[in-house]
Amino acid sequence: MTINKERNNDTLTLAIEGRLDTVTAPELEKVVNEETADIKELVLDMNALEYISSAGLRVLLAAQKKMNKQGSMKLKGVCDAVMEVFEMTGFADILAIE
Amino acid sequence: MKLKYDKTGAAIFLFVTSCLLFILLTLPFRVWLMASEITDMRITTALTPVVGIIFGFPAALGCAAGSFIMDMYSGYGISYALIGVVQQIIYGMVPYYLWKRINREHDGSQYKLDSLSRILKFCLVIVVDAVIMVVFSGIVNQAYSISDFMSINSLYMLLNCFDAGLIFGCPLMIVGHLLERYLERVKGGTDKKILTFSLNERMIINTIITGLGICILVGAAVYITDIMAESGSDVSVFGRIYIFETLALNFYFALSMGFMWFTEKRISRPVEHLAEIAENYYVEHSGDEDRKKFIDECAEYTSDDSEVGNLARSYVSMVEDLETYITNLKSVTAEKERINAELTLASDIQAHMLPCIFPAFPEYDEFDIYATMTPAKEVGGDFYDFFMTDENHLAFVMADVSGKGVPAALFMVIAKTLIKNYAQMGQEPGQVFTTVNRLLCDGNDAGLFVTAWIGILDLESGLLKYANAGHNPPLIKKAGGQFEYLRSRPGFVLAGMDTTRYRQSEMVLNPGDRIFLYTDGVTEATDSSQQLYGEDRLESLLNRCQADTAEEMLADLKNDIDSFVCEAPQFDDITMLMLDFKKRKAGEGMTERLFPADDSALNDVLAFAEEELEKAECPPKAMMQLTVAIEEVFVNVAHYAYPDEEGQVSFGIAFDSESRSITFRIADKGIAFNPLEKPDPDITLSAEEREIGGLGIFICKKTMDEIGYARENGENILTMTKKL
Repeated sequence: MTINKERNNDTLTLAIEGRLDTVTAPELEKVVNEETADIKELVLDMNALEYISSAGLRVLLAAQKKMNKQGSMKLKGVCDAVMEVFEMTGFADILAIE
Repeated sequence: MKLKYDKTGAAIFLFVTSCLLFILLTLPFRVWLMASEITDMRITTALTPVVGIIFGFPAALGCAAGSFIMDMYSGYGISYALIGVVQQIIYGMVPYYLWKRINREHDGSQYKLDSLSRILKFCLVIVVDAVIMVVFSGIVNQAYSISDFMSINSLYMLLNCFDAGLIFGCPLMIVGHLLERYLERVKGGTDKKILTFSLNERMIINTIITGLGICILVGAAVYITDIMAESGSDVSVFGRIYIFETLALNFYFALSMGFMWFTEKRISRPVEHLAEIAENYYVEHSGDEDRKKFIDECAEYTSDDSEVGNLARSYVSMVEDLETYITNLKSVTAEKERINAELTLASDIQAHMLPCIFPAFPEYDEFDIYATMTPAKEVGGDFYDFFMTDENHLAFVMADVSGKGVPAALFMVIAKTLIKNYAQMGQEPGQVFTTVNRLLCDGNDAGLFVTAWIGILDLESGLLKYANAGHNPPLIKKAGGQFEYLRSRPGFVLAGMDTTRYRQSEMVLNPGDRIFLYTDGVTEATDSSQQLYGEDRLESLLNRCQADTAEEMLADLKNDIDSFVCEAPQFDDITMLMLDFKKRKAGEGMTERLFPADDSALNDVLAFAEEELEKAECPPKAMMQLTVAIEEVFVNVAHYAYPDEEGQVSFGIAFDSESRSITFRIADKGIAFNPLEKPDPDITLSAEEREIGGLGIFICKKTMDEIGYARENGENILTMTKKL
């Protein structure tokens, strides 16, 4: 998995490429924890994300909770397969998905 | 060369032979020993009646021809010679008919002079023949006016015929009898010896030869005294010779016949009779009856105080002893047979206790197992066994009970049953041996013990757990490698010490691996020069062996042992077992692999799963769902199953092409935990209210068509199925 960070004022865009699973999720978690201290909006670009497991969901949930306190978080470019996981787990209702 | 025996040929042969014999026996007397103008010393006087008796007309005719030739040679004139022919024919044929008519016996040889009655019969025939001759000669003499019908010559002639008939006739009869036996042999192919004489026959022959000697002595004495006295004519000299000889002969024969009568009655007949009784004894097995009959028959002689009585009494006591012995032998034999029959039955039962139907597990193509036992003569204590402890575990055992015979066999049955029972209860090899050892030690007063090796193979993972209780090290062949001894430090023998704890070892068998178990009957097979077959020979043979299947390999090995041992006897059971691990078990076509239960193995797990899913042409969406599910389950195990140690996860994937469904089987030996029991997260809650975690299994439940959990044999087994 690779994460491309793009900072634009208060907005941080993280483009996630590859798989978000047990092995890679801690990486994303680390980035989110380190880079979101002073931002208002977190955008997760998921166009190149092909896979997500519950470990990834955990990170997303944690990020959402954090951003709820300091601004907002939105997801864009979610593919069908990942979307299905979100719907299945109720994350579709929690997350702001464009 | 074998004589061709046909009647005409025989008749011509007899005629010519008799004729030549007649001439041969007459010629010397005619030339050198002419007693008078008309009388000569005629051995032939005996020849004609004897050959007549034995061979009948052709021989009599031959003698007549001989007589004719000799008479012509001596110049007696044709008429005299022709009379001689008639005389000879009568002289030969009268005994022939008389012999056949008087006291005809059907058994044995007809011409044998082997009894007094036959000698008397012969004498009678000779006397009658002589009288007829004398009458015939008297008529002829009177007709030719040579002498009166009855004259002193007639008496001489009568005596001549009688004396010669006996003196030369008896030996001739014996020679004739020998000839008869010879012809029988030529004709009928019997292999009876020609020169065998009964006791009686010998006595008679002795008597006759002695008689012959006396006659010659008497004749010579009379002749010499008469010549010295120079008195009388030649005829009267011969007359006197005949008279003296007749007197001497009659006296001698009368005496010897009396003697012979006695010996025949008291010695030779009883002996022959006893021989016959003994020969007929025990013709058919009828026990008591035989004995009674024998004793009854012998009773005729037992009261006799001579050697014959002695013999008869010895016979009776011998038979009585024999009967007692036979009775004892019978009961002993019967007992022995009963024991043998029971032992055979016991070895049968024992042999059938061992699995002996091959292929043993036709429903499993993951392995091939084959075993043989060649018992030594006695019931032995070797055994092998193999069985499934559950559908994924194959247990196989090789053992050897100390000692032989029934005790070893009984102990073997107990040991085999216990091992199987405890293995099937799901105990591990070390535990099985520890338990069985303790049970075998109880009440093992006979001090028997068992060496044993047990292996339990997990067909899915290839994990082989084994324990060794003092048994020979098995041989293992890794796929592509060579057979090598698996030398783990063996534990103590079973039933040795009740406190022994058996350690177990582990190794992983891969498809293509083979394991060979045996008892010391193999390595200690001994050839005639006391050499052992040995471990090295066994190892090299197994490595040399080209056979494909376990069965063929064992057969090759057995042949090699047999050719090594050759003629030497087999002392111990030869028992062998070969397991050929062909592939791992994967349920129905399940591909399976072991992974360490750690996050770091996740990528390997997923790579393995994806590879298998691609093989099944899984669509991308399902692929994603399936890999997510696998990850969730695997991570769950990796995090929670083995809290304090490193463990393994077995991963299996199967694709059922009919229902187009994929099945996963994830098994671990960690702490028992059913993830499905965990309550589902409430997905309607807001982000703030939701807990982190608990989603993994929830996703699995959602995406999979079936999901199940089971705890089996200390394993958590989670199965998931998804239709594609």
